Amino acid sequence: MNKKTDKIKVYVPLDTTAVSLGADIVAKKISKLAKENNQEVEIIRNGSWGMFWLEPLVEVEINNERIAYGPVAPEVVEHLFTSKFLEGGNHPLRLGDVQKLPFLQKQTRLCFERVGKIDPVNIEDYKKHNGYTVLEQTFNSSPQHIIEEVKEGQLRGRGGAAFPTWIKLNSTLEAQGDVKYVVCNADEGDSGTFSDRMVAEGDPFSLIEAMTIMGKTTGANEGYIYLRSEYPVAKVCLTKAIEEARKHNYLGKNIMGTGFDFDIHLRIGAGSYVCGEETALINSLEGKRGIVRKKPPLPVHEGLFGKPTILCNLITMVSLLPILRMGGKEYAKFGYERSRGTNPFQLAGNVRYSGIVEVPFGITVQELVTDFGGGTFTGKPIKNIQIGGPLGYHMSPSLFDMPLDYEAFLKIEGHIGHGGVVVMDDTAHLDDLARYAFRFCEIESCGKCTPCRIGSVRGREIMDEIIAGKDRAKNLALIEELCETMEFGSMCAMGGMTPVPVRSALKNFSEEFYQ
Amino acid sequence: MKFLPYKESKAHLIITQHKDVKGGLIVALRDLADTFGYIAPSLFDFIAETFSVSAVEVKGVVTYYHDFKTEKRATNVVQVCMAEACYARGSSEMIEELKNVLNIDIGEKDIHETFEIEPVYCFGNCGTGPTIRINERIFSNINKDNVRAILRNYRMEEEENE
Repeated sequence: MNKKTDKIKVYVPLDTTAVSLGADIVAKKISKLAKENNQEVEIIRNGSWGMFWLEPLVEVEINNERIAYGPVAPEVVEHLFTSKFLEGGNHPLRLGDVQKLPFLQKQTRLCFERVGKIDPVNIEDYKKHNGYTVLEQTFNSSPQHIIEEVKEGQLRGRGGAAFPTWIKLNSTLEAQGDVKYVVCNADEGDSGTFSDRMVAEGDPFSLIEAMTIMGKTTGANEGYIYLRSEYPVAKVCLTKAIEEARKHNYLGKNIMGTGFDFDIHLRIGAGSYVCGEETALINSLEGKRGIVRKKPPLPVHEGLFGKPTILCNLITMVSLLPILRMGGKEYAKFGYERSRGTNPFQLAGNVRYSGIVEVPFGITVQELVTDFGGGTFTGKPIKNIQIGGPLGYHMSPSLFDMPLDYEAFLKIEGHIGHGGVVVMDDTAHLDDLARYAFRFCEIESCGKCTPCRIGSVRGREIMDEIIAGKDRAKNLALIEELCETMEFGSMCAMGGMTPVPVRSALKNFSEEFYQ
Repeated sequence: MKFLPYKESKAHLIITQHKDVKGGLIVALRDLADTFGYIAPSLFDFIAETFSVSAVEVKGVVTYYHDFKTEKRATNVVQVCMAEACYARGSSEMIEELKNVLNIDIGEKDIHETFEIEPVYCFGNCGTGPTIRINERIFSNINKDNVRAILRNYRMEEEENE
């Protein structure tokens, strides 16, 4: 055996959350101390397994098995060396095989199959873990067949709109155009969501593969990823992965000798929540103000640079890989009612065990925050849970037995959105949160529609009066009226759905507004 | 030939570089903002000429996006998350303390232009908030009791590295 293979592989996540807890310093310290101990280590910066209370989660590979330690704060690295962790030594932070931890065992990881497991920017590692098998398969089948599988898988847009993906694929395929585009929406602006970020950081090749498949299916030769500027680590990983894919002929001209050309450009946003809306995103990519466009024309007919464009959320795109690998029918066995498949829900806010929970639709909110989340981080009772980002519904505990299902949430006039679950304890003030909904809209409104542009300001002002205890009954009636105007008078979800958090707070926590 | 000051010639180089990129205007603006921290209004005419749009259109795009500032930034930019997931973990109190420590309001610079607080709506670091980012470094679990120490340690570490 040569010296090189004797190196001990140590995994230290490069994930933003891991880094915010000191992972970069931990990685440096491990290198330094290993050198001092004459031990050769190879540090691999992987994605996060999505168990944030264990971050930085360090894994050591011994005899092809990975032994985890966590949370490894920079201060405890010396201690780990004393316990001979590079040989798998015992230590209070030793967790054993990560994949055997109940938090992961209870999940059905399809989109997150490789996140945490692999070196995100190593194409060989990606290929070793089922990578590029689906693309190869795609080259041997017809666009119609692929669209049929997606239809059978009943995949619906994971960005929040829940639109059937197969219809978008089919419309783009049928649209007339010399040039077509594939655009990935990675402008994940909802607070409490981070699944796009984690895939971009932890498994960027999966997005590249999925986009290439979409290009092949619809007849597009160019793709754009619109990534928000708040995600610098994702930018680095995607840039590197795109370069690697080009180098290995998985992007560029004549991909894998099939005669198919496809390339991807990474574009970074500039801080605008509305750019997560598809037409605003297209305007932004074109170099304009990120203002919402009226529809029709739909992007599938006249999208980026006026050409037919299939634009989907990142998680929707990577969901194509499990669907095409296992077949639409198998994939659709997961799920609930009309919400089929799995979704990476994001447990955030005041929750003890925060992170990614990829499970089939239909899990109840209660199961998610208790069985996975373990209640609040502060140990206080849960007061409310907001589902679906800043435009999401504020639930009171009496609603926690609701299943996470698109239609169930529509019935209460809420939505699942991008799957963000923000837990709050009894220190949360729902009047503050209702005010915040207007305030956020005021800051982020693109200004196109009057109800959103002006209504948000008026709403915030009225909420200020309500919080100050002024003319409550009159002001609350005004809020109701304003919500109706915003809902029906705005072109996109920004103004149209700002009433969701406001109304749900008023409805489910009325005592806070009237006392 | 007119000679330009170094900074301006560098800016012109950046702008010209994206001339033939599709939708290149925003790419150029992004690049300028990343390089200098802000986009000087004195560049608007040159940008407009490069991308065959009017200077007013350039101004329109620049002022639309929160990331594009038209004034020089402070030496240290402290970005603080104002969104719900961090609120759920007690960011309100931390933000008050941060303002006290730096003696400036959200969106302001101190008189020496050493620090600036920039509001951010979500870093996607929602499970371990409240979150702040000081220049390039991101920090989790910031609360009213540790924010002062985090800023002090940051300054000390930066000075050590210098």
